[in-house]
Amino acid sequence: MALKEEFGSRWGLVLATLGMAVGTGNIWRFPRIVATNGGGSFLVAWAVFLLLWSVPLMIVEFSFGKRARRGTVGAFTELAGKRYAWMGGWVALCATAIMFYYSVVAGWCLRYLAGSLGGSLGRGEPGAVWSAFTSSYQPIAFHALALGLGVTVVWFGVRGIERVAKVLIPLLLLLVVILAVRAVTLPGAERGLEFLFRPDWPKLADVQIWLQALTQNAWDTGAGWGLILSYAIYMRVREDVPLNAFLIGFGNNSVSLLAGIMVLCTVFALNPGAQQEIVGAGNEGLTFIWMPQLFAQMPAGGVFMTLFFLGLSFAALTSLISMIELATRVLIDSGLVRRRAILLVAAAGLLFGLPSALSLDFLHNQDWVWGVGLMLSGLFFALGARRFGLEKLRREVVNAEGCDLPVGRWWTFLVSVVVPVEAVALLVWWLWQARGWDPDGWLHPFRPETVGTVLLQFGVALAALLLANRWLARRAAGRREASS
Amino acid sequence: MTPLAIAMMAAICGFVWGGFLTLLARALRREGSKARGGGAGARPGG
Repeated sequence: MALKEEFGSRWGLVLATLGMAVGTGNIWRFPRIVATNGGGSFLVAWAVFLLLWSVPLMIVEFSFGKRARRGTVGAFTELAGKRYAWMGGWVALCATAIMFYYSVVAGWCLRYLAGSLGGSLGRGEPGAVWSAFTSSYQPIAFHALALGLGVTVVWFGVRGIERVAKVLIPLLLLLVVILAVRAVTLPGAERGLEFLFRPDWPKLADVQIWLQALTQNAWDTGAGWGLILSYAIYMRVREDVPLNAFLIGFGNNSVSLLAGIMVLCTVFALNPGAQQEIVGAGNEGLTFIWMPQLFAQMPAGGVFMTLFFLGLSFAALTSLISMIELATRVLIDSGLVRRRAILLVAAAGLLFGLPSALSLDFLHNQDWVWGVGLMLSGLFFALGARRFGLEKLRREVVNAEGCDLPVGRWWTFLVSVVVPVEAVALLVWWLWQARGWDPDGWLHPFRPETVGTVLLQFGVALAALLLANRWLARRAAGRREASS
Repeated sequence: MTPLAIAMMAAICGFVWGGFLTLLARALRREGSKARGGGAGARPGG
């Protein structure tokens, strides 16, 4: 299939994919999770799973996109077989459902960027601005703004994505470095570094630490989401796969580490007495309630607060762009022209993001359900690669012409055995944990974070995809024949 | 900071940032050699 669109250079691909990987999860989740899970001990497990989950799956995704040159449904149909088109449909559904509420989150970041520029944040009672904002209709407007920005970039195709990534990602890296340097030079910041890096060796025997570290890799590197596949479609023919995958995995975790240093040093330097309360305040509590309060106490805090929310907005928008592109690409594969596909994705994003913009409970429900769904997506990638033949994939795509870092058989072992075991362990563990969050109503299908709501939504989605499998495969195959 | 925390910081930052910078340097070298037409880096079969 001859594609008119492709990345102009390796750096365009790497920066766009790094932009996809680095999102809000690196900045607001990683510091909290490392702080509540044993500091240095957690970091050991987190570094191990970078190599045992993220990088192997990134290589799979790159090779699927490069080989099939189609979105998730078409790629699974071609590589795993027509009977497995539904798996590609699941991957697309999961990422698109996340896109619906992620544009609300990106809108929050833009609202707080505007607030920090206007000097309205960090004053008065902690949480007052956040409560007033989320109980108003403003999140709808910022959701629309974020989605509009993302759609505009995708409208211009892969060259638009590349151009934006080449500007935003170096700026984002620079902002994170500036904020981390500012944080470690605050008086008392060494307490934050001590808390972040001091290992608690007995905790390494705690399986929960390992599962949290695996989860962090699954959620913040973007491996197994289908987003890398969607960008890999536009790789140049002689483009490398493994070195790019390693580069993006290590680059993503480098940003996480900087964010951890930045957040924990700021917290420990400026409000050491409330550190448990701050890191225990959840993603939104830490970012939108406590960080403005802390920046307000810092010399020139307004400037650093603006840089923080600017960086967070860049991270959110570049991830949102990749999700919009994934959904758009699947529609293009089914026969729509790009612009019509984008308009359809924009309309759906605006509409289905509304409930999350209006209700935090709804957003948390979607975050919970499709966050667990991503583990299934990772499993499907591993199974799809096995169906195609891992050795064949390694020889013909991963280590093919243009490869700068050939991978050995260790990769086939990781994808065929280790990744599926990890995915099943994560699924079982998260659902088992959720029983404890609501002991009396854990099977209730209409509560925000229960096992029941996962089973209901997964059940409906999987049943629909399995029933539509032939249709999905036919659409993908039809497009293939029409374009060849 | 305790010596143990410093050692751990060096190990983790060295692994993650050192890994990233090493990979970046390798990619830059490969791109440089490809631009000069010296090495396509083709190794089919691996």
